[in-house]
Amino acid sequence: MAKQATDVDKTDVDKTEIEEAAESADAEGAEEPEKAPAAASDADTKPSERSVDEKKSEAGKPRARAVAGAVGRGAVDRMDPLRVTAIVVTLIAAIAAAWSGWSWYGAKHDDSIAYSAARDDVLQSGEQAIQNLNTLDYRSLDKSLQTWVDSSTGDLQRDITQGRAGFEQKMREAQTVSTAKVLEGAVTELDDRSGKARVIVGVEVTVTPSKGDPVVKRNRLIGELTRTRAGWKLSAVAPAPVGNA
Amino acid sequence: MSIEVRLPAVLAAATVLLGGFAVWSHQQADGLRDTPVARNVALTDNARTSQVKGEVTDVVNTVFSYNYADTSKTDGTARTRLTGKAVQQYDGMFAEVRRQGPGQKLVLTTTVTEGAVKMLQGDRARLLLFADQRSTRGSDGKSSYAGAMLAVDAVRRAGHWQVAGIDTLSGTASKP
Repeated sequence: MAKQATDVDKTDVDKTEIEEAAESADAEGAEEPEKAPAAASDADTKPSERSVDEKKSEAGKPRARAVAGAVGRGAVDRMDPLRVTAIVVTLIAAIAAAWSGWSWYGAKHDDSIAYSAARDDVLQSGEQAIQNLNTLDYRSLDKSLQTWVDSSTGDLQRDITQGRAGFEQKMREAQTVSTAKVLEGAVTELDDRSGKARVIVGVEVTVTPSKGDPVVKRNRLIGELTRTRAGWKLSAVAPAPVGNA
Repeated sequence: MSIEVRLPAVLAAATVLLGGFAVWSHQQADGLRDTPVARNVALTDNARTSQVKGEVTDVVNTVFSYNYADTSKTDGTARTRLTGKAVQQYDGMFAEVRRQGPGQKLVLTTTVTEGAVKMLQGDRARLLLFADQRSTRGSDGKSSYAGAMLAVDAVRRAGHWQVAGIDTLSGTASKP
């Protein structure tokens, strides 16, 4: 008996909820037809009849939705499955965003990626500098030697600068043209922090004297690079020695 | 009443924004990581760089050394540690040594003096090596010393690095 009573109470509650929902839905529905009379007043009876029917069905939709919503609310204890799904979907999106964002931050501050980039920078600068230092044209001596100065730093640059005048004289007399091609190069050591690196590069140098045939030589070179404000520059270069016994 | 309408709309908007950010930042991360520079871990992965350099150096030293009295080590390493194109290239390079070695009583020693890993990615690597080559002919006592350089392509199979390509950087085979 008591059970029945509570059931009745609940149904009463539901009914009031439904009535409330229906009233509010009616209020919504009532706003829409405001526009319809304005249109109907100009037209003849048939459209106005139609608009009245439309009004009725239009008003009916929100009312039906509200009723269904109220029933749903009552039945599933205020946890609409649609709402739960929506919250879960948003949570999934939030987790995905957090994970991807963390991955992006990690990539941006990845030390190894930066180190790999420095390694390639060192190799490119080293190969270019070594090619430059094996290139010389007596007809544009000034330009050639300036390129040598610009490709080097430290002791090497000082040696080039100091010996420049005497060297220019010799080259002008010999009238040689040297061109160089880098065959292959690789970085052996890289200290990114102190800005020091070591490379080995194989070059093919073609020396064309003023008279006679060009001579092609292959050189194995070991270079040291130092990072300057203008990038990695060659601070030392020498042919790889062939060991004794 | 208003919260019932607002919550789903807010959630929908949030889902779109969060989802969009997830896709965008994932692409950004990929753009930073998925470059040839980043994928090449030569020097960057110190341990693996040392490993490939050590193993390939050993293979090159052994396979380009020859002793007319006992060629087992040379032959054995050539058989087990050369693969792909390297097999043919090596045969071409070493044909002269094999043919004339016994008659000349030839002893050839190759020692890598400088080595650098240029590329290291997964199970593939490329190295540049400088090597000293000393050869002594027992037949007439002649001895020579030369510096060589070669680029080597390597692949890792069953935990061991093997030489898959030999590039003498000249297009012509180098002779000892």
